[in-house]
Amino acid sequence: MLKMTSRTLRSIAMPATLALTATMALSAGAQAQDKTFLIGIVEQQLANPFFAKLQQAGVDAAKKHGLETMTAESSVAGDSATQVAAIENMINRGAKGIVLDPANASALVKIVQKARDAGIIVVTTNTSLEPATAADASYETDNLAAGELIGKWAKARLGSTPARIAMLDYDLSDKTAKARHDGFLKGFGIAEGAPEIAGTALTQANVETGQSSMENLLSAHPDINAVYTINEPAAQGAFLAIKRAKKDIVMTSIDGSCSGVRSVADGTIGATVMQFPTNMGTLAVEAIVKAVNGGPKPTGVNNSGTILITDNPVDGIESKDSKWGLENCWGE
Amino acid sequence: MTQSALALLGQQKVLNSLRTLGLALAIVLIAVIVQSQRSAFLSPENMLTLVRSMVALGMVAFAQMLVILLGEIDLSVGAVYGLAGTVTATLWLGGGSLPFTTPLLVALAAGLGIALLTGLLNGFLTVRAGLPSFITTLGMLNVADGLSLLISNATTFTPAYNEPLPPAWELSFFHGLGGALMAYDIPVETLWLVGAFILFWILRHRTVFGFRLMAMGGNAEAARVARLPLKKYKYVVFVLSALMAGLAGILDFSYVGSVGPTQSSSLSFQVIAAVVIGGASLNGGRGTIMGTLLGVILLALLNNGLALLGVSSFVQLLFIGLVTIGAVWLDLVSQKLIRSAGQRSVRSGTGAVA
Repeated sequence: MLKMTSRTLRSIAMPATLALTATMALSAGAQAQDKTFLIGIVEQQLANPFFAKLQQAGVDAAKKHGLETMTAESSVAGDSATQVAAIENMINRGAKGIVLDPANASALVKIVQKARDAGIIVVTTNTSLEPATAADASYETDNLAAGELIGKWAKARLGSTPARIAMLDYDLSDKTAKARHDGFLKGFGIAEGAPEIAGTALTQANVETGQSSMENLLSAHPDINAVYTINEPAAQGAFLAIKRAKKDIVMTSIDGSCSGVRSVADGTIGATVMQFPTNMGTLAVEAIVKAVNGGPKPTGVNNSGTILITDNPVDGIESKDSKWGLENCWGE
Repeated sequence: MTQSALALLGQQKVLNSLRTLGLALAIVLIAVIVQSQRSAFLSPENMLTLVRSMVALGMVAFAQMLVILLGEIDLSVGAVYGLAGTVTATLWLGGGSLPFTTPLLVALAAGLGIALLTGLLNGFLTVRAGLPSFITTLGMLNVADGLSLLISNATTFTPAYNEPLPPAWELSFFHGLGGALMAYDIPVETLWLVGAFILFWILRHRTVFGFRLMAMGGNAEAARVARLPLKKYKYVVFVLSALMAGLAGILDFSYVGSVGPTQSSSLSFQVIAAVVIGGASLNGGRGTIMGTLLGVILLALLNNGLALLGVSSFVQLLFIGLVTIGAVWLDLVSQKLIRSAGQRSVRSGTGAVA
């Protein structure tokens, strides 16, 4: 009996010791950086390279200032519950600033308020809360401006040819999708429902739906000569349909992912607008550092930059070529 | 012989309390380590966060323990947790793929109703059709996840910012279910956890129902001979499990203030891990509510502690996996020990406990 007890005790102690040593090893690493303040970075699911790049930029910027970081991310698209829990942990840990890429514009408002009440500076990136003033400030792509750039470029490329435009949209109740759509029309100089718009289609912002939507639009309107797409995968899909129909069409897109820029280089996409996740993360962290060190608090919705990428530049619109694009793009 | 059987039972009891003690020690140990590195750990705010994070996990795990006690398993709880919240939100707020809306109370009833239905279906397929519950509930996990997406059209629902805004009393009533704060900022949700713990503790340890569950799970053949209502009990535990999952889903929806698509499926595995870490045997016949609670605390503590230490969420997953495997391994080793000890005492013909 005695013997058994000691053996049993030993076997019970085993996992406890395991947990102990592992936790000690981990905490020893974390402890060394405790001198300066803590900054929390909450991202959306890292499976998306855009979000991964954004988070990495934030962490890098914080490291440069010698700050300790605490990171967390949604497990799937729209997963605000994980983000809420992460911000709670960051408040408890005494973070001075939080960089948040909200999974949902309204679901995070309550917890952000709680964080700000605790004296934490909250800066959103990529997209703002609803209302945007729920956070201290936001660093995101001005999607209206991005849309305007490709609208203007498409107009210039078509020249005197009467325009027949296909709009490959994403759900227009999505803020980003709506801004890009409106921006394109504004840049092209036409109103919603103008006769120049041959047809519109709702895509899922991916290759499959880009292709099928474009096939349908081309059968209905064989005279289409310009295409707006919500993002580069949709454009790449649309191009497959266009190639099969053997058409010469001006293709525009937005995002600036490396795959998208390569499509610009090989002529699949005429022009795309690059957005800069690295800028978002870096600017957000810099703004927090400045404010925590006694500088002014960041405010408002700030543009993190948009640049037109094309190998067919037109007069009057500043642009960079695909070579520059490949050096500055994000993702695969 | 009777004497040595009794001795065996006695040793089992000693072993059980030793295991519980070991688990409690591991929890204290981890807490001490986290506290020594992060003084914020034992702050009242963080303790509240920690307890709050145990609510859904605990409520669902208590019911899951009863399922496991019968030698069955319910993998669908995570999806049912999501489904109940989504059904409630879609019916109440609109905006999904249903063409109509209902008042809050109807929507809540429908949310729990659909959970009840999945529980009944799990029971029916396992008991009547004779499918292994692993398969039944794995299928149900996908059915419930698919149904959530279909009904909600993958929308995220946020009552406080909905268009049109629900009546004020509905909003405050719904908030009051789980999200409202009581004295000392304690969320209402924690009361549900305490209530569920008491209810399931009584059910498991102080009722004939609980005693029979253990007996039937330990030896289904003997239970059949003794004419214990095994089939009926299986229905009951599957329904309880699904109902608790649905309830937890609705409460978390109330606490977080929004519900989105497929946020939930990982809950199933956390729940089963908690039950197993808490000392329940997947073969049935063994498991306590106290042990399950300790399993839940350990998992919640690991999540919270590792987050406070700044360990990335990827590494946190890795830890939870290792701890689960370690717990089951420990269980296996200790079971082997008790069996050989039992055989020794049978051979020597004397009771080991003197």
